[in-house]
Amino acid sequence: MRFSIVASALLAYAATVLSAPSPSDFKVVNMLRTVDLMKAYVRDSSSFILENTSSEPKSSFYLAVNSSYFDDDETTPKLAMYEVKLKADDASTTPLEFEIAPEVNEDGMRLVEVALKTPLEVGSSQTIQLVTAVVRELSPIPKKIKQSEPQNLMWEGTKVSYMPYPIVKQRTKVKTADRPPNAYSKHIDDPLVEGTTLTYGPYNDVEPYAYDPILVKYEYNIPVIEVSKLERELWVSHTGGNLATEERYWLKNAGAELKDNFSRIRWQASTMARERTPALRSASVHLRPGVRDVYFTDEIGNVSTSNFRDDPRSPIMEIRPRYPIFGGWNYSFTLGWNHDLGRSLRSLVDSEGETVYVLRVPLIEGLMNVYYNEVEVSVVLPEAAEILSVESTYTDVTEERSLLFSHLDAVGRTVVKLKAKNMIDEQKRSELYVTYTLPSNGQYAKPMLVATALITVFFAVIVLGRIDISIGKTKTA
Amino acid sequence: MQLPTSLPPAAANALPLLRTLTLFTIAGAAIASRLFSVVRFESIIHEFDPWFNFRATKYLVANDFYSFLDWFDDRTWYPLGRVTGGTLYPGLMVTSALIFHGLKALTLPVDIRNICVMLAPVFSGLTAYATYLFTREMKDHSAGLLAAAFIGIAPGYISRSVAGSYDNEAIAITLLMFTFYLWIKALKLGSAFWGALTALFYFYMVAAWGGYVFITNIIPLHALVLVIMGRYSSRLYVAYSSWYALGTLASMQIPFVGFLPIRSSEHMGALGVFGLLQLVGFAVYVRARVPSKQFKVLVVGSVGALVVLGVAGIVGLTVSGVIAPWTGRFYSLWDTGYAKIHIPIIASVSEHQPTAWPSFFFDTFMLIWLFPAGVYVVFQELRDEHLFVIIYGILASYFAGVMVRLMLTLTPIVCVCGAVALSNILDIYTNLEKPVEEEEEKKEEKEEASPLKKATTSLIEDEASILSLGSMSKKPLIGVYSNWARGIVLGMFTLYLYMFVQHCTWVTSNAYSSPSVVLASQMADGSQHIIDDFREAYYWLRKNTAEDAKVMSWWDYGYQIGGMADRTTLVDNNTWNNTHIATVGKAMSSREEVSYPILRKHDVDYILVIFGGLLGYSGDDINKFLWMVRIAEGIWPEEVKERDFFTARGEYRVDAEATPTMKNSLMYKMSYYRFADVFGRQPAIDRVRNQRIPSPMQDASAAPIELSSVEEAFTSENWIVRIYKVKELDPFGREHAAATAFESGKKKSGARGRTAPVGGHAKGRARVLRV
Amino acid sequence: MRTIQFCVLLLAALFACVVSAAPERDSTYMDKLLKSSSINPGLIRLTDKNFGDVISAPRDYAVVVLLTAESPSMGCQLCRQFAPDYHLVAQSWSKEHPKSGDGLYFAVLDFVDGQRTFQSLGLKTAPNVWLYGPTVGENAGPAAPIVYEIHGVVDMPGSVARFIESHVPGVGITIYKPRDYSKIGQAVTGLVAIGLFIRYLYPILKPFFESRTLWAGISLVAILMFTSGHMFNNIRHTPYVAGNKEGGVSYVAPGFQQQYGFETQVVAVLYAFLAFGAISLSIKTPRIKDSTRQLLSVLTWATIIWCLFSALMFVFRMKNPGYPLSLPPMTK
Repeated sequence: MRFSIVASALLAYAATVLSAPSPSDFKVVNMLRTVDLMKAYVRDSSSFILENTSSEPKSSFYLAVNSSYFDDDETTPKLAMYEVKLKADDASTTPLEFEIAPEVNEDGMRLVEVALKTPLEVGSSQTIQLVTAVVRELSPIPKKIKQSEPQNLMWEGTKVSYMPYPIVKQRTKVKTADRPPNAYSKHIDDPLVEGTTLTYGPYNDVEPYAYDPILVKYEYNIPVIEVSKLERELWVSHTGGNLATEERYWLKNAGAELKDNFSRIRWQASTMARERTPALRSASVHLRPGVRDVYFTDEIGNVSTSNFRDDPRSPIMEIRPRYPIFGGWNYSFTLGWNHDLGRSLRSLVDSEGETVYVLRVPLIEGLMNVYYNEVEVSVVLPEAAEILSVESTYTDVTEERSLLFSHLDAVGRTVVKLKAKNMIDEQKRSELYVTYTLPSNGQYAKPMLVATALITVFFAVIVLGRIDISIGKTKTA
Repeated sequence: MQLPTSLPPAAANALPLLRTLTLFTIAGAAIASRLFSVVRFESIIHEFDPWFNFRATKYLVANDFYSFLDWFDDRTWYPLGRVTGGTLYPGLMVTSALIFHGLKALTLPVDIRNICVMLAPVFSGLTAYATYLFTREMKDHSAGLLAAAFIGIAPGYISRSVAGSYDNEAIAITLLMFTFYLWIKALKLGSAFWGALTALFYFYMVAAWGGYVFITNIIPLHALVLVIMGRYSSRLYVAYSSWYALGTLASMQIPFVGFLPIRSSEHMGALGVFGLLQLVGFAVYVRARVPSKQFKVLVVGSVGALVVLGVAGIVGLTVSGVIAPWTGRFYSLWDTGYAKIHIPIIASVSEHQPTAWPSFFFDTFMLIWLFPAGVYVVFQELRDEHLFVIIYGILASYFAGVMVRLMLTLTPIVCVCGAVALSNILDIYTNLEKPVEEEEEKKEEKEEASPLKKATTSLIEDEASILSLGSMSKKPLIGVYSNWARGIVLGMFTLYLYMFVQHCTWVTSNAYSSPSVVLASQMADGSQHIIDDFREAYYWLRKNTAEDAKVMSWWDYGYQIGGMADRTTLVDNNTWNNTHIATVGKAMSSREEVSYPILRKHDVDYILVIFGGLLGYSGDDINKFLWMVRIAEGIWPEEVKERDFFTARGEYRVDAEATPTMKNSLMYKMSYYRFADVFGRQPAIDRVRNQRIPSPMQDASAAPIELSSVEEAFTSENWIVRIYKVKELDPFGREHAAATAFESGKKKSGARGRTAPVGGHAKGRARVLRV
Repeated sequence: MRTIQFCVLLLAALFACVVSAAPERDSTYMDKLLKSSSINPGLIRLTDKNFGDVISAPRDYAVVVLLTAESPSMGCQLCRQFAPDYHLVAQSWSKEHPKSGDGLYFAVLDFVDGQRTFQSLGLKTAPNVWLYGPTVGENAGPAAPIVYEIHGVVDMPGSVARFIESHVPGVGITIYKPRDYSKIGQAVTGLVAIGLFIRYLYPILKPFFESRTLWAGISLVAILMFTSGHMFNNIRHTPYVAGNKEGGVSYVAPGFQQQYGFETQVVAVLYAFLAFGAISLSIKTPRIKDSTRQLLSVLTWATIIWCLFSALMFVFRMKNPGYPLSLPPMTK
């Protein structure tokens, strides 16, 4: 699942020049695709059986991604997640390496070459899982709604997956949030509707590169929250044995914009009636256990309307913005808390008998059902710490290091800043490992400095106290 | 009267250390007692003016000092803008900016907001120290420590220096006391060095607060009194001259002050006394040197003539207008009716009202009656510096009586005098040695009394003169005989001191610790509930309106909008342009058809009104409305008439009996727009004015309030802040009224249908700040 | 005898003719009135008889009429407040236009002399200022009067003047504040007195005027006065006491920002005694030679201070019921 668009593009170029996919190499037996529309973004996962129909064993096969997900005019690409996994018979999965071709074919698609761990023998088959997440693909219909009106989103996709190989059988499920879709493309008795799920197909013997669009319009009375920027700062303090976390959010409700104006009385009515609304009234943030002194502020001070439920297993911070955030409205806030450092710091003695510290923290935490355009995670290590390595399970990041002086520092503390673009709440599980050592000589710099400073001050006072600056004798009253 | 203290030398050596410790404790107490608001709410800037100072400070921290001085602020007083750099006292901002950079240099990055919030408490600690020094000059260490303790926790001073009240007064009082201390010191030693120091602090004071004029006048007055009482001395000459010359030159460096010190009559007193001192000094010099009687007479006479000439000159210049005659705030201190007639804006500010007696007691508890006692004690031995205390005492109490906010300048001297009186008592009653009682021994003493003693007694026999120094009372001090007396008196005053602490704590926590931006209220069940409507609305403005949106509101909220919402305002608390304010007043108090052109002319995008009717928040715009009307009437007497807002019976009503002018005014409409709907079928009660707003749901006769040229954009949770958007010109060029009528006609009773009534809004009244 | 009667009749008749034969009022008539029946300079005092004549329709002059009820019996506070301002305006006009009104006249009709007029005009309230503009001439206007709104104007004379200027074209009124010569006189005499005093009396009264006790006393009185809210009474003209709902008298004003004259005096006295108590404890008693007398005086002063302080807090609690502190005996 390692991919880095720019770099891989070049490699992919070389690759594709050598070998273009030939439809006869594979066939896709029984593909099941599930499009999940219950979140603020589209989660599209499909699993299929790939059978080698060529004459020789194959060590790689091809998939395709809509090139519009990589639009450059967008600030960030829409493709937030792309995972290809190999599923063994015991249902265990292993991620597969892949590379995305830079050039776009006539259908506006870009090919993805996936390398198999072990070459696939002729005639044999394997189960492949493909999981993608795409943000900013859901458009509100209509663009502007009244405060009292429900919000509708429109999804545009395909019935059968876009494949370079023939597909023997495919089914496509579209799952929407709590209500059945109120408009969708349909053909005589297709799709089959059960509850909130549409099932298209089965379609048999689909040609390669077949393209058959679906439109689904569904009611979605849940705020579509887009975090345009998240700044996350973790302060490691050995002396205090504390890990302080502060997150600064700049977010926007990307749903249907509010037509006319906000009417408080209407809002109070809907609050009384507990109506579901596309406006963000409150959000609950799940924090890690053992969290202390949580605070919720914004640019003009503390926001009193928050409520912290200290459940020992999963403590929840219930935050209420100062005002309900309707479509097109913005808000920004700061959320912070403390942890015992022990929970996320391991120390081990290496070969030279020097203690090495390993800090293990989640890359992002916080809000549910959101997507982030820009994420900055910075870890502030204790003074004079020397970094050995920085590892992140979410790898599409750029790393910077800098020096920060604070709290009477003498030598300054190292700051690691990781920048990522275009993440989704699901990537919470990805983690960050920082390995560092604390050379003892750096530890005494600060106390020495402070002590000398104080001593000089005292002596200065003593000396100045002795000096008599009066000119001649002063006669007192 | 220094009583013999029988201390072992070791203890005597320990005393300075003990004093230092005590002072530190006092400073600690002073700071701690000002943190109620931080503990109870949060570290936040209070009220109105502090928000401007805060904003200016942030500007200064972001830019360098000179660009701060030439700061032209185009985000206030739109479209005029304000030459902010030239029209403010930079002392406060510079102070906190320096602290900020200093800490940064120490790699202690403290948020500038926290510095601004904590500035006042920290400086109050310094004030305690300054007061200690000042009082020590008056009496002795013990009195000094008492005074420091008093000023540390006296509510009169706390009222302007709690954490978060980031206003000029916060540092001004500290500087005031330091300046006075240094003046006394300079006068005692007659040293130019101390005089220069006085000038330095005077300069700092000028840079910090408009109230510096108080110093500018009280020091010359002190000097003048000394001269009149024939207490002229070279010490006085040196001290005064060095202070005046340096101080005046320095003060003219502040852009906002500029040439006032030589142009305005507030400063003429100082100049005159300066001249007088030169003449007197000259006369004394000559008299000392010249033998012949006549010549002396000549010199003295000519000096007298010169004095007369000088006075005449100043008067003449004032009349001819070269020197600005007494005007504005300062003048309104003397001619108390002046402001009400000529400067309604000043008159409209609550802190410019005269002081009722409870405020005095409230702000200084028992000190208020120890104060005169202290003054009397000071009269006992009438040293030069004692005269200063007396003058200060009388003047300050007069000013405090005229203007509530000047309680601030009274409090320090009250504390000083109170401390002098009390420490005097304590000295006597804690002195444990019994005086001997036998009469005859006394007589014998009288017999073989030293000639000096004889002299003093003989001096004491006749009435002590105001001009002479030394003790005033005839009899010699004997001391206290019985321990009962000691016990009773000491016990009583200890109890009073204890109650003093109680009082101060109570007052501070109840009256002076609410940051009027956030209100605390009780729910029906009595639990504390925080009402944060102001910030809710301001933050909405900040986040969801165009960067350059123009917000119109009454001037009280200008600074807050600038600080919290960061949007351009038309008028704010720096009320330098009456006409502009009157324009806003007119727009608020006229019919929509009249207001709309005004709004368009000033590019107003949003209008912000404060409405307490739902919650019972009494400081809202409907209550301030009459001032808007009055100020507007001052400029357009024909178009806006206060009379029209009163019913035939001369009542100010907002219910069904309100006058048509009232009902049609933009302010009224914006305040009560859809207010009745909240109550559904119950009567819509305005909880501030306890009047019943006509509700269409109740009687069909009452027509719902319709707004045609503005539309509701945002209303805060408890309806305290309501923001309206000014509509663009109608695309079809219709009158807005016509357009809305057309719209509403199209969708029948659309408005009515949508309003589901919201029942019982169980919020208590917001607590009034001043208990 | 006959002849005299005849002459009188004749004269009367003639006068009557003159009066009736002049249908159009011109300013000469007003000037006559101005001479004959003006109470203050430039102010005509009207009665029921001549009111009608003055305002009768064709007129080439403007006349401002103040319909008021100044007699104390009517108890019209506002009328008495307003009168001097109005007089001032009239006076200023006549100052510029001595002996003839030049087309603008100021008149006053008091209820005492004009009950019928008040009834006919259906006036319920007073005072009213009505302006009758000229109906003939280059700036002729309607015969009906224009009403001036008196309520809540800060600078009365100015606003009245502005009102007239705005309605009678070509009239400019500059208000002349009458220079108060009495004040100057006082000042001069005062100065002279002081001069004489210093010259002759001072040497005699020297010890008295230089007595420290006197000055101390003065300062203390001043301080006590100011700190007990005297300036508030001065500025707000607070009543000494006020009636309450039960028809009784309430001596203490409810509310923190209010006060009556009486309570301030009470407070001043309390302060004075407390201060004096403190003074005697610190200065007087320790100078008493006899130990028992000293003990007694200490006790007395201590009790006085104690009781009065408790009383002071008691009064304060009346103003501010939420106040928690109190001392016996006057707790409650």
